[in-house]
Amino acid sequence: MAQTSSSPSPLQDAWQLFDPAEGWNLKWAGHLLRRVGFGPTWPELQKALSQGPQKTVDSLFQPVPEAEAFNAQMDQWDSSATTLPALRAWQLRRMLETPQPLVEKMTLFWQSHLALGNVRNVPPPLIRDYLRTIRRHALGRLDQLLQAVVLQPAMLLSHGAEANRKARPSEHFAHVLLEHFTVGPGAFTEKDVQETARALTGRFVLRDELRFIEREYDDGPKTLFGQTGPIGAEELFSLLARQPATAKAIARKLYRFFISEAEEPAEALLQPLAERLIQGQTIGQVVETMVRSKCFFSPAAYRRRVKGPVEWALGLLRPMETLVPTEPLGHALVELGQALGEPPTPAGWSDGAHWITPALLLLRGKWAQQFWASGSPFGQKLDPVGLAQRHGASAPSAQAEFLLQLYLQGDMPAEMRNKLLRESQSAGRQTSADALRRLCQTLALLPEFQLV
Amino acid sequence: MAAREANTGNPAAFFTHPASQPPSILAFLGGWIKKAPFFKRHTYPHFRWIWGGLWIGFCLLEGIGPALAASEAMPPVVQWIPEDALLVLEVPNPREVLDIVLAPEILQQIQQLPAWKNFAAAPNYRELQQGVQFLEKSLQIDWVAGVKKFLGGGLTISVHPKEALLLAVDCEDPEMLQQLHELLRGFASIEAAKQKQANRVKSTEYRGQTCWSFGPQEAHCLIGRRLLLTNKPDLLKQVLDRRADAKLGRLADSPYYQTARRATAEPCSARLYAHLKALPGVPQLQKVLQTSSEPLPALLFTGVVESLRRSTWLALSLRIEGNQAVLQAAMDGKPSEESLAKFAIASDPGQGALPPVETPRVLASVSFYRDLHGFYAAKDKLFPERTGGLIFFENMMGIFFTGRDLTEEVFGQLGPEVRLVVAAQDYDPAIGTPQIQLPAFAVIFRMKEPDKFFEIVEEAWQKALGLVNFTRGQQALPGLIMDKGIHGQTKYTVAYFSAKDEKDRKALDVRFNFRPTLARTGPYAIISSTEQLACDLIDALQKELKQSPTGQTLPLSGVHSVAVVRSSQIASLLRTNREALVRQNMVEKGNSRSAAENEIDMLITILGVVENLKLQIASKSDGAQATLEAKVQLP
Repeated sequence: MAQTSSSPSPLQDAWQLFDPAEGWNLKWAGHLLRRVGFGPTWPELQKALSQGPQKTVDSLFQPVPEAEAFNAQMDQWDSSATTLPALRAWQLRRMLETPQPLVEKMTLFWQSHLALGNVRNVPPPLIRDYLRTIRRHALGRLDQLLQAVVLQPAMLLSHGAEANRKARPSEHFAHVLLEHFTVGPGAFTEKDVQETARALTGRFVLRDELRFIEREYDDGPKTLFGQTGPIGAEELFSLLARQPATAKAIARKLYRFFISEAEEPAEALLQPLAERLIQGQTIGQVVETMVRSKCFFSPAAYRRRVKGPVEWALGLLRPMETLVPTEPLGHALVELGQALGEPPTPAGWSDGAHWITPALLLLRGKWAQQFWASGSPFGQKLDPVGLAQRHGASAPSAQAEFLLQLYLQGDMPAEMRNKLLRESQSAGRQTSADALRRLCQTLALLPEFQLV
Repeated sequence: MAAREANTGNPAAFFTHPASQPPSILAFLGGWIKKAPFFKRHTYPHFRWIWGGLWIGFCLLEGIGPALAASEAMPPVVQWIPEDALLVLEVPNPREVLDIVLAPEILQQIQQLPAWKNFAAAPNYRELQQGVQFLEKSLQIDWVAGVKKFLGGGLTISVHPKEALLLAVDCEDPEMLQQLHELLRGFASIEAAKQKQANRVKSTEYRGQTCWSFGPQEAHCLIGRRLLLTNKPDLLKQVLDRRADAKLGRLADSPYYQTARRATAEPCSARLYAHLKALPGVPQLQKVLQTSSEPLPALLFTGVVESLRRSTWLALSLRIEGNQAVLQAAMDGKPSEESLAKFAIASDPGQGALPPVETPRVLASVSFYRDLHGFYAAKDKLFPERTGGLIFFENMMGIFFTGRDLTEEVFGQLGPEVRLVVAAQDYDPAIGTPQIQLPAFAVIFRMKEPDKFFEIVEEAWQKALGLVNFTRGQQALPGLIMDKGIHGQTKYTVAYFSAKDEKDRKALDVRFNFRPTLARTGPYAIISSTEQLACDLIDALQKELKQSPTGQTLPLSGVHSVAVVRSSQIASLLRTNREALVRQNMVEKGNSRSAAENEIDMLITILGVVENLKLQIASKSDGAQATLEAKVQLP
């Protein structure tokens, strides 16, 4: 069993740097790479293990030289996507191949937090632009992110705010902006909604483009969160980003995403993170603080979050070090409840136990079978035997052990581990390749694998 | 020293010998066959056996040894095959096929295939290559010549119940066949000795012939220049019985087989006979024989499926004439008069589909004989569960043809001759070129009372365009502008998207592939996705009507479906859209950029090789017949 570091206590120590001397092993390397990416490969795990936590985090947050060329190439390729399924396919392809997994992970995070509304009437190229904007600002300043994303044509169209007239401001969208994107429920009044809507007037989406029509802009003084003046869209986003309630709401959501969704964090735990956001630190800096911390490498964070369908599926497929057909994968994710580009409500995707209802678990079972069926479009690409051999596991028993280390870093109850190894050896008439495929299917459904 | 071979002397023991491990050369061949990427995909064991047999045959040919020739006049193999055969493939003159398939240019193309490159990269390939090189050097003959010489006399493969397979090869050189057999036999003995195992080579005399086995589930016999190889020794026994005793039930005497032979063209390069009623529940076949629950596939294919379902046998023959290959299929079933599928059969002699329309830039032209009135009248029986597609169709048609009975007043007004055309587009430089270029398509109906009915169609058409515009407006998308145009003397209705605000005229939105048009010429209503194709069709139909002495186009008697595909034109269209196809392939199949490029380029190359394809399906008094003609342009 892997060594674990002690739980952060007292709270003020929580965000202090984690000391590898407290125990750095494959388990924690896997924990780090799963949280900031999508299912680490064996070389990535080994590299992290040898580099140690802080150097690994350095490499995750530092700009990657090849990232610019990669994103430019992907931007070029996904520009031909004219349907939502095609866009999903390219986003998944990016998640699989990106040299900057954290950026794609945060793009997924913001896609849920700054969620589109009803996308039925939104042309897919606008959704692509929305995603590109998120990607560009995913680790940047909160005010800039809000301004860039909230005023995307896809956002306005999907929330029915494509015409923000002076005579009829879109209070519905203003409500979404305050309740779901910024300060959160209970932190604003009806008057704040009206004033926010007035600040957004003059913005129209015409022929798929955002336009500012001055005569439709309400340039009268507005009073919002105690501040009075001719507040326009730019001032609005800056004001909202500086609100302690916004900072706390974002910090809480980041905590649920990177640390734990098992219990509500104490206010004192969130306060330092929220203060950083208010002081103008970038989202990247705040996330970096979290993933370098003692709290992150503690039992309070380890396997304390349920994998969403994207994390679950890519967690299975990406470690196989091969490309997979991402268009059918997009369909699978829709069935599993996470239709990329199309969150179910303005609150984004639900998390936690919502992802593992009995019905959804059955579907996970179905797709695990599909992924590993040798004749399926996925199964034809996945070669667990070849992968294990490439990494030095030639005997069938070593190959099974390799897969346990790859997917769960061996961190599972000994009884279950032995049972799986036994079953993979006594596969009856199955070939060792079939036995390994079955082992992968089984691993995909273990309780431990549902957690990130 | 080689282990001693076993001559059982007891045919009964030979033909029921127990399972044991094959000697290493067969193990090598068997292992290679199992591991080769191509065969991996075909889990159906018959494929492995057939290819394995061909390989052993090649190896047999490549051997050198003492010359022992025993030539005899060989009757067709079907005279030896038991009548219970399920499938029989006969290639009476393989050289015709081999000369094409093994031509250096074709082999060069094959070696460019990604599948071949993967195969060549596999470790087994090197072993195989070494083996072939050894044989080539020993025999001083290259493998291409060797294969041709080995198979050149004829090839027959038959499938029997209980997964029994027979491969019969008539070698051009009986001495070489005998010599190679000796060589393999020697290998088998040496290998057994090396492994300190008992020699697994067995032989016995039966009906005056020596029967051999080099391993379990394998038996063979050399009769003159003919090799008989099977996976079930009992089948070999049955074959030898029929060779010796013509009174036993032979496939050649089966009335089904004889009728099937007569129904297909002779001479031919290859023919296939399938006893459909006796074929076990092959899932793929069962799937094909199901009637579709969706209206469109049912309309197009129910007639063919019904014919196939009612057939006892199916015969296919391949004829190669110059650069043209003709594949003919015949079966003895056809929809009955009471069948729900009778809408797909011309009830009167002389009726049938009209000739496919030819237009400039045509990619595919299809012509059907389908009684739409009869089809729609039978819809409740054909689709008792009323699918979503049918409900949507009826709702829409109810709006477009308000106040009219769809069965009598709409479909009853249409003749059974329906034609479809797909053509490439030339884009107007004044408008621009879409980023993704789609082909234009059109459907042509014959109206029974055109003067009365076309106005009704026109009204429905304008309602449909209005609905499209309304829906697009709801989605904040640009709408269509309706207009009238004139081509020659023909007035038509066209709708188009304005390009005035478009910034990049070289990469327009996909909607600029459409310029929906409705036109009428003579008794025909043309509904086209583009104005250009509609005008081309007006010209083509007017020319067709003028050429007909009766003023009406003459149908192809008895034919219910014709399709002409200009494959080289399709290749050209794919070439234009190569980038989009490559990207689609990447996400659809999970390929890398280079692998996707290889696949798409290969598809374009193959389509370029096949210039034209023509498929014609007809109903005859004694069954159904399909002919597929392919004109190829070899590199």
